[in-house]
Amino acid sequence: MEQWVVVLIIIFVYLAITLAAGIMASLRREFSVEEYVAASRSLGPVVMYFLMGASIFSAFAFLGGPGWAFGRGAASFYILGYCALGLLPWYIFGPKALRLGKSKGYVTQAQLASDRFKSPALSAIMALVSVLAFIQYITLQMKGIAYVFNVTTGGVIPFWAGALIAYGVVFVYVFLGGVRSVAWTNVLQGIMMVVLAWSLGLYLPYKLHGGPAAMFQKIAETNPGHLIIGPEGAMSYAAFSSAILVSVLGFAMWPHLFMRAYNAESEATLKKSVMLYPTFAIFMVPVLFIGFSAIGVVPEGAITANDQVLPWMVTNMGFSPLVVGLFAAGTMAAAMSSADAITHGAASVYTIDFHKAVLQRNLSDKATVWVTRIAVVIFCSAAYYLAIFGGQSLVALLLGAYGSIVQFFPIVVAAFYWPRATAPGAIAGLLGGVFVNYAIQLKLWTPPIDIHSGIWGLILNVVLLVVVSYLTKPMEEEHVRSFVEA
Amino acid sequence: MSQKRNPYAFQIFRSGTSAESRRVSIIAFIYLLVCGLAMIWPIYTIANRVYPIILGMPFSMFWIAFWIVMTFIGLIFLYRYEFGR
Repeated sequence: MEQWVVVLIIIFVYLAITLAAGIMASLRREFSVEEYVAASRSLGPVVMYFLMGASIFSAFAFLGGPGWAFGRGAASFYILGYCALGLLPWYIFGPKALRLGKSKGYVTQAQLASDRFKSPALSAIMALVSVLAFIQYITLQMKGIAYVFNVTTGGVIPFWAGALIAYGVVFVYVFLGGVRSVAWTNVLQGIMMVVLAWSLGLYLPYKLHGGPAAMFQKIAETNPGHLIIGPEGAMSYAAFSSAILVSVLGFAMWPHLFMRAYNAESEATLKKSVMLYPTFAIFMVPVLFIGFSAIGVVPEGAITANDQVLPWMVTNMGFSPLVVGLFAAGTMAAAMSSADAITHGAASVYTIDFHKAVLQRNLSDKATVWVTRIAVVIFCSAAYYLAIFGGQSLVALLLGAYGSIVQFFPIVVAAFYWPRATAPGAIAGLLGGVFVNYAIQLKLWTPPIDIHSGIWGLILNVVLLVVVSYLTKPMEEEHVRSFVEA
Repeated sequence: MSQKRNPYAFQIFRSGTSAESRRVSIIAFIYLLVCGLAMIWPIYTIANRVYPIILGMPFSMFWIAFWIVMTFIGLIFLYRYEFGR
């Protein structure tokens, strides 16, 4: 059999199993908003673990991750720190969000914020930033899927078709089953990714260099700066450290992760999934090995972007079609398991934090689920269009939003711990932070030191939040205290 | 405890949080903070070198992996303390 036929069969078997799992999770359920968006707050620890982990293992895991190690060396260690520390704040905030969600009936992040500050405007701004960031995120996953589909089948499946097929599957189960389908397919996808990461991550260094130690020895001899941080290294200390810091503050602020507090059945479950989270960072170690193993192996000029390093190795180094197929399926699993959570998150955020908060206040429960489903269709189409046809003018807008998520951090902290914070303060801070981020993104302002743009935004954000809050009238005591005491 | 607190003051713990649970939270926070700080400047500068290569990783990478494991161990203890077996 020709290679691409075998690869295609494996991909379709994987897609069929995923689809079946997703549809099965959706069967025989009454769809209330609480079920569709928050799985009726009933998910147990194993499912929660994979649901959370899937957002790390996006298309980035097998494309961007090895690409960073290959092209930027030690800078990629920041990814390990990011995975290990990213959810730690959640050990503190998560249970609070969960308790408030239970007692006040929230299913999204902005619901909590806008209720605390009694401000639909805040909800609308947060929803807007989140949805733009989400679309960027989905677009990246689709591009990854389309690329891998295309290379591993030797070009038989064109770009547009690859993205359409894989995303069609995601669309069907998110549309039908909501977060429960997302969760169950993520278990399956998570297992595939971990197996793939470890087998390739150990196999490649041994086959190509005689083991990781020998591999790093070689790199150290030819290019020692590649393995360290700092002025002679791969990334400046300031950029490296601030990137880790931003991810610690910002990671749990992603609305789809924040919403997990409303999916968990109990505080213990939520804390357990945070406790287990650093294991995902350990899974990233072999992923970086893959990228390092390509150094000196992938000839210069063979690839046009660092992200292509692993697909190139898998398809050009005489692997059996079986391995190529498993690689394709594993990468797609990684991309799809993030894409489904994000698509679902984007649709829920739009419906609840924008549509229901601003446009139609009195939407019935049933109608709300349908608006969410229609939003799934719209966001999928928008991301598909961007992935296939580009849309350069939009990219800066989306990237700016992507970098602005961390600006939710002060709002969440204020909601939970600072009763004196007021709505004008929260809005001023958020807008200020987002503005700084865009100014840096669009190169209107160049910061004096090489620190992550999110940190610059946070500085202005916190100052505005504090100053404007003190200048405005405190909110009703009993109301704000109910958040601090939750 | 008799003086009236400002109801709008920044407040980390819920009222009625026991002294022991406050102490454990603070210790856990400091421990995890150390794990995080170890991975960034300035502490990371002491680990930022290629040799020795440990477990197949350059020291700069091993150091980060080591603190990931330490983070994980710390979380296991914290979780077990809170929820028993």
